[in-house]
Amino acid sequence: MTAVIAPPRLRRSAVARFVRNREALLGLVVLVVVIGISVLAPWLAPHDPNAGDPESVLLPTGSAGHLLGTDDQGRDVLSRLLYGGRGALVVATVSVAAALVIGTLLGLTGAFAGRRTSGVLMRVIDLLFAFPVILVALSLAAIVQPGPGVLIGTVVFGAVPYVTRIVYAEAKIERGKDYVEAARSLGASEPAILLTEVLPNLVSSVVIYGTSLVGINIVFTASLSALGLGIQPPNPDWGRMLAEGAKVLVTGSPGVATFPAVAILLVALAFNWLGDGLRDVLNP
Amino acid sequence: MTRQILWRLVNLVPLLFVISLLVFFISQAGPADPIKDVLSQKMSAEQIEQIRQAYGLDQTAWSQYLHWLRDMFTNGGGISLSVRSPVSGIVYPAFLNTLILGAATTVVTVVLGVLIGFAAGIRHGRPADRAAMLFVQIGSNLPIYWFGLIIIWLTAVRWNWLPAGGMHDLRGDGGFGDLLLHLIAPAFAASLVSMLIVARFVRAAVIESAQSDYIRTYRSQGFGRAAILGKHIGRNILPPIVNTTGLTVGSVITGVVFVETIFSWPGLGSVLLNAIAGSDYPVIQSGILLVAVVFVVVNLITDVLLDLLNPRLRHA
Repeated sequence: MTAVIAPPRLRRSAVARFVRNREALLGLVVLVVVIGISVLAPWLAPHDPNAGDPESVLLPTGSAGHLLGTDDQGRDVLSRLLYGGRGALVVATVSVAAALVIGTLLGLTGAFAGRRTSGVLMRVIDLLFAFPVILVALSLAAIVQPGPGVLIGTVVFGAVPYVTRIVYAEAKIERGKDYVEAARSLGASEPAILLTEVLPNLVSSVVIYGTSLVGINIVFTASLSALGLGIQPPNPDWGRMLAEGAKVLVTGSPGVATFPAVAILLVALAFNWLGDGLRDVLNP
Repeated sequence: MTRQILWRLVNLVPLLFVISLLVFFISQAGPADPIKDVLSQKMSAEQIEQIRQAYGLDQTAWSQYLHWLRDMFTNGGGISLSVRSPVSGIVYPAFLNTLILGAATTVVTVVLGVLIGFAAGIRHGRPADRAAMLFVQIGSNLPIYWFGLIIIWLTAVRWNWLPAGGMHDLRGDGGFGDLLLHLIAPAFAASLVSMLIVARFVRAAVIESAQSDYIRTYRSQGFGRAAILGKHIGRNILPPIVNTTGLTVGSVITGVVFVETIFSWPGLGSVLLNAIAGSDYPVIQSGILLVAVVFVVVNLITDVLLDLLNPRLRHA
């Protein structure tokens, strides 16, 4: 009887732990709201985010019809803000997911390959750890044109070393455990052991780490887009809005750049909180 | 010890080779014809072929690479495609300005990072520590671009303490004091990410070190707090400081490139962004190669410093 009841109770306690962690819950709520807004932007936005109006340029926050004011082209800041997270969220999520897959494969390889392969691989990863990723962004922008592709490539390149390190460290611990030896003695092949025995034990760490990576990279790609390397105008984008608002920030219209900056900060913090909360739940 | 350092130097050769190959690859992988901007509609096929020969584009990729590498060493990377003047005249002065800002950023990173980390670490768990950690969390999630703007707005517009941008005052004497004044704000802005990384590591190192057995022993023997902090904890966290500072080179360089445009700093970041907009491959390649070499050299210096700080290696 107890055996039948135990699993749901365990699951319920995990959910309870998550809910009790106020930061994690807050993070989740913020993200659900932001993703909802991004999806529903066409219905929520009061104005066309790209339609400028020379009659109403640089209206202050709180103006009638333009709650957050307008930018130097007379575009509605609120509408641009509602649309502006779309690109950033997709780019950061897709590229971190790719980095997680690549980094996991490399980390597992490093932990289970022979000493020489492992040594070379981890030495390269160590070196890439501190690599100035801006060089990758600039190189990619020179090869393909500036755009979302540059952002994705840069984030993947920057994140893979970190993921690899984490997976490598954990997989090395797992390698020494009895269940791996047991599977091996039962005749399982190395790839089978890696994928069906070791990998499931690493997934939670990887997902937790990936969550906070998404947040950091939303911040990072925003600055890349502000420099003109990422999402291109006239698309409404938080990063672009930073650059568009830069010209008028010092001349008395701080909102144009500051609202997207706050949005970026909030989303990044939410991903961090969610990651911390997941760690408490999955790896207590 | 000397052998260790020599071995590290030898290790650089294949690394630099790979980096140079990758940088060379930029122009190969780019749009089909790197000289399309030089060509015009009116040129005959023969003229175009002549130009292709002049740029060495009729040769194999390998000999083009060797040619390019020789160019890098002898005349700094050939001729700029957009300005039609030697790349070295464009890239080197800008590179020097970036080095100046990079050095200042590193100083700010280490000084503020260590101060914040140390102050938070010795007050582990107390309000000052929690305030510092909140600052770290918010700071590391702020877009550096906006942070730079706010720094300008505060220091130059609101308080009128510092110049709003550039490297020298146009009416000034261009002296060192003037340069320093122009350095403060951009160096502080560019250090945002790296400073907080250092602060986090130093805090962790201080906490760990303060909890170790031998520190507890010193304390029980009646050694003063100041003596323990300065002499023992200070010495223990030196290697992590060097190590983390080395690890933040990438963040420092990235921060500097972000900040240069905002503060109109006449550095390599601005030059590279312009070159990308104009598909000026010689400038792009030369600039990226220079920064990559700096990265490798700083990495080497960090490794050697860590060897020197490691007592087990010092006497080997």
